[in-house]
Amino acid sequence: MQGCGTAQADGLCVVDQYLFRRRGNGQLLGTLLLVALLVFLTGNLVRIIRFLRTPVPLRWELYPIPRGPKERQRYGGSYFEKSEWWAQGESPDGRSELIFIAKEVLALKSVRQNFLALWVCSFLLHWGLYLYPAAVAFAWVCAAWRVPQLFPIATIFFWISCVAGLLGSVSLLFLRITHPRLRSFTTRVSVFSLLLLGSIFASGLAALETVVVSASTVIQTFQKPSTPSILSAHLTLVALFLAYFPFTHMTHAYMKFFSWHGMRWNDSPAAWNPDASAATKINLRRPVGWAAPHIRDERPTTTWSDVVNSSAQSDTKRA
Amino acid sequence: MLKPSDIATETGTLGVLHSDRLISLPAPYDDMSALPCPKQPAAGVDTSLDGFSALGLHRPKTIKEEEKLITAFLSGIDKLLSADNNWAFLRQLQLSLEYCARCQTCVDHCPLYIGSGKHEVYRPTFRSEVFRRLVSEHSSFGGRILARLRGDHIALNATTLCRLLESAYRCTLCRRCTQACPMAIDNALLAREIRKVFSMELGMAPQELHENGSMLQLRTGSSTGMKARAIHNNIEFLDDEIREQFGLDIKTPWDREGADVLLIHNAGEILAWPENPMAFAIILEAAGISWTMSSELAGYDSVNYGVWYDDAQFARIAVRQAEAARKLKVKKIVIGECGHGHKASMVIADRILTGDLNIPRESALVLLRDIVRSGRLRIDPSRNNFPVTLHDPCNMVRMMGIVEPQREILRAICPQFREMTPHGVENYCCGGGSGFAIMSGHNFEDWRFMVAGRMKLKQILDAFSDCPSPAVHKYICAPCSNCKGQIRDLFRYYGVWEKSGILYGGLAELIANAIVDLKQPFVQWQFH
Repeated sequence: MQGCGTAQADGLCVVDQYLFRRRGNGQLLGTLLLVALLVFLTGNLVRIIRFLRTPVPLRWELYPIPRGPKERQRYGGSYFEKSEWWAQGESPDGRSELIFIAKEVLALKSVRQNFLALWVCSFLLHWGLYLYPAAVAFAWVCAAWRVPQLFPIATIFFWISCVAGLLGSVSLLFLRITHPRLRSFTTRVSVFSLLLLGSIFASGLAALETVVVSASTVIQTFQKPSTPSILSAHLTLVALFLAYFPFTHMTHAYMKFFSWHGMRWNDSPAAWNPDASAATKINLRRPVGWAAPHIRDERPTTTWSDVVNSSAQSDTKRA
Repeated sequence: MLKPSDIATETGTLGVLHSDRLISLPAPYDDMSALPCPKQPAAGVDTSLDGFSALGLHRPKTIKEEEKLITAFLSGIDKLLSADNNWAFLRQLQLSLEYCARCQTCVDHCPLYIGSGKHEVYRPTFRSEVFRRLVSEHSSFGGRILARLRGDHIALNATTLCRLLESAYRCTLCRRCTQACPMAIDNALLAREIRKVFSMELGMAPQELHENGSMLQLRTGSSTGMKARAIHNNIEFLDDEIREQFGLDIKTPWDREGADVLLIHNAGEILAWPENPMAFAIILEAAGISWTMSSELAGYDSVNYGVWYDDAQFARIAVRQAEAARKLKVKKIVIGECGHGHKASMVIADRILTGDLNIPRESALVLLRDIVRSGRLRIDPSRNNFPVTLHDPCNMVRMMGIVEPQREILRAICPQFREMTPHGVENYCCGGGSGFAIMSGHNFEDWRFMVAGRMKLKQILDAFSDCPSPAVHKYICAPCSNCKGQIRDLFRYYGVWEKSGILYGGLAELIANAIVDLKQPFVQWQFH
C-alpha cells in the first residue's frame, strides 16, 4: 500500500501488488483471473465480430415491433398499413424499443407470460447475475474512493445477489431435471452451467465478508487468515465462469440485441435506405455451390445473379 | 417423454397420433369417431415420423445409397453455414442455432402442438433441437467428441434424415412460437432451413411445391399451369359473368402501360374462387382506379412457393414478377388477397430487387381500405347484415403488421363483425400455411385436417358460438388464397357448412356485396 498517494491510486496499487508482485497462491489466482478476463473479452469480441461479418441478410421481421405511433404499436401494426408507405419515412422510436427490451431484460416478460414456474426460478437467477457485478463494482468504487461507510450497502447488495442467484440456480436445476416440459431438452451443458453458477453464488455467500470488504483491495483480504481458501475457491470459480461464458448460449445476454434489433425488428425497407442496393449487388455476385439439379444445371454460370436470372428446367428427384 | 436423440431410433413410428388426445371441439364436432380414418399411403412410403407422409419419401435400399444421402446432407449443412451459399439467411440461422436456452417458453404458442393435444413430435423445439445438435456435431471442430461428452449425440442415419425432413413439413412457418421467445429464436426459420438443405442440395421437396409449383410457374407463368392466353380467356369469361349476373359492363384491362396499379392476383383465385377477381374488378372500376393486369411470365400470378423451401426458386420468381411491372412502367404493384405473395414480394424480395426493379409494392387491403374510406363506392352496410369474423393470414399480419386496414373496412361495411380470440398479430395459423393448403398427396391431407387446422376450426366455431344454427348464415373472411383453400378443405372434412352454416370467402367479396349498384347480392350462400 505504500507509496501510492491518492485513494484511487491506492486501490489500483493494491491490485497491482496482488496480481503481479505477490508470490504464491495469490499471484496464481490473479494470473488466472487475468487470463479468464482476457478469454472473456476476446471470446465475446470474436463472437460479435463473427456475427457482424456475415452478409446483409434478406428481411425476416416479425410483429409487433415497438415503433411508430402509439395507437399502431398497441395492435402491432406497421408502416405497410399506410397508403404509398414508400413515400413516407419513419423515424426510429428508441424510447419504445428501450421500454420493450427493459421489460424483457429486467422482468423477463415473455417467460412470465408463457411459463410461470420457469419465470420464478429464472427471475431469481437473472437478478442474482445482475446484482453480483453491480455489488462488486459498488464495493470497488467504495474502496477506491475510500468511503467505507457505504460498504454495508454493498454487502446487502452482494448478499441479495448471492441468495437470489443460489436460489435461482438450484430451483432452475431442479425444474430442468423434473419438469415434463423441460426434462427431455435439458442438456449436460445446462446442468453444468447451473451447477457452476450455483457454486459461485454459494461460495460467494460463504466468502461474503471478505469479498465485499476487499473488492478493490484484494491484497488485504488475502492477508486475512480466516477466509482465504473460500475466497480463493470463489474467485477460481468466477475465473472459470468468465472463461467459459463466451462459449455458451449464455452469450444471449448481449446477442439478444442483435436478434431483436437486428433481425426481428429490422423492417427497414430498401426504399428508405440508399445503401441497400450496394449490399444486394455484393450478395448477388457471390458464388453458388448448391448441388440440386435445378441449381446445379445452371453451371458454369455460378453466381447468385446468374441463378436468379436463369429459369430452372431440371426436375428434382426423390430419395 | 420424447428425447431429441429418439429421432434416430430405427424401428417403428416415432410418435403415433391418438385422435382422442386432440384438442376438443364444441358440439356437434366433439365426436371423434365420426371422423374418417386416415388413408394408408402406398407401400414403401416412409411414415415413421407420425404415421403420415407429406413427401412420399422412400428409404434408401442399400447401405451405399444411405451413405450417399448422409454425405449429401452433410455437404448441404456446410453450404448452409457458408456466407456465399446462404447469405440470405445466415445471420438469422446463426442466432437460432447458437442462442436457444432450451427454456420451452415457446411451445404452448404453437397451434399444431396444442391442437394435437401436445403431441411431442409436433413440439416446435423438437426438430429445432435435433437440427441444432446435428449441425453442431458435424460442422464444428471436435464436434463429434464434444457431442458425446455433452450427451448431445444423435445417430445420423437414413431414419434420422427421413424423419427430420418430414418433421420440417409439420410446421406451418407461422412463427407464432417466435413471438413468445425471449431470445427471438426462430423455430420456423430452422424448419425452413431444413427444407432448404434438402431442396437445394439433395433436390428433395414436396411435388406440389416444386415440380407442380415453382417449376411450373417458371415454365408457364403460373403455378396453376395457365399460360397468358388461358388466363386472358378466363378473365374474359369473368367479365361476361359480371355483366350477366350484376349488370355492370366491365372489361378487365390487360398490359396497359403507365397504369397507376398493376394488380397481381394469386392465379389460383381465378380457377377456385373466381368471385374474388370479379369483386376486385367491380371495386376498382367503380372507384375509377387506373389499373391493369399483366400477361408477362409470372406477372399474372403473385404466388411464390420458393418462399417456403428454396431461396433460388424464390428469387427467380420474385425477379420475374418485378420485371413484368417494370415493363409496363406502372406506378405500383398491388398484391391481391394472397398472404405469402405479400410477404414474398413486399418483404423478402426487398433486398433482392435493385434499381428500377424495386418498384413500390402495396397490399390490396390498403388500397381497398382507401377506396372504402374515400366514399367513392355507394355502399349499404345492411347488405352485409350477417355475422362476420376475420381470419388474420400470418404472412400479412404477424409478418408484415397489416392489421387494421381490413378491420376498418369490416367495421364500416359489416354491422355484425366480431373478432375471434386471439386475433391480430396473435391469431392462429389456418393450418394451411407454408404450402400445406395445396399439399394433399399420400395421407398428408388427413393430418392437415385432424391436426394442423384444428385450432383454427375451434376459433371460428367459438367466434360464432352465439349463433351456432346452420339456419343463420355466417361468414369467415379470410383475405388469403391459401387460407381460403385450407378453410374450404377443413369445412368440407368436418361438414361445417351443413352443421353450422358458415361460409368462407375473401374481403373484396364483402365490399362488392355492399355495393348498391349491383342488381343482385354478390355473396351467394353456396358452399364451394
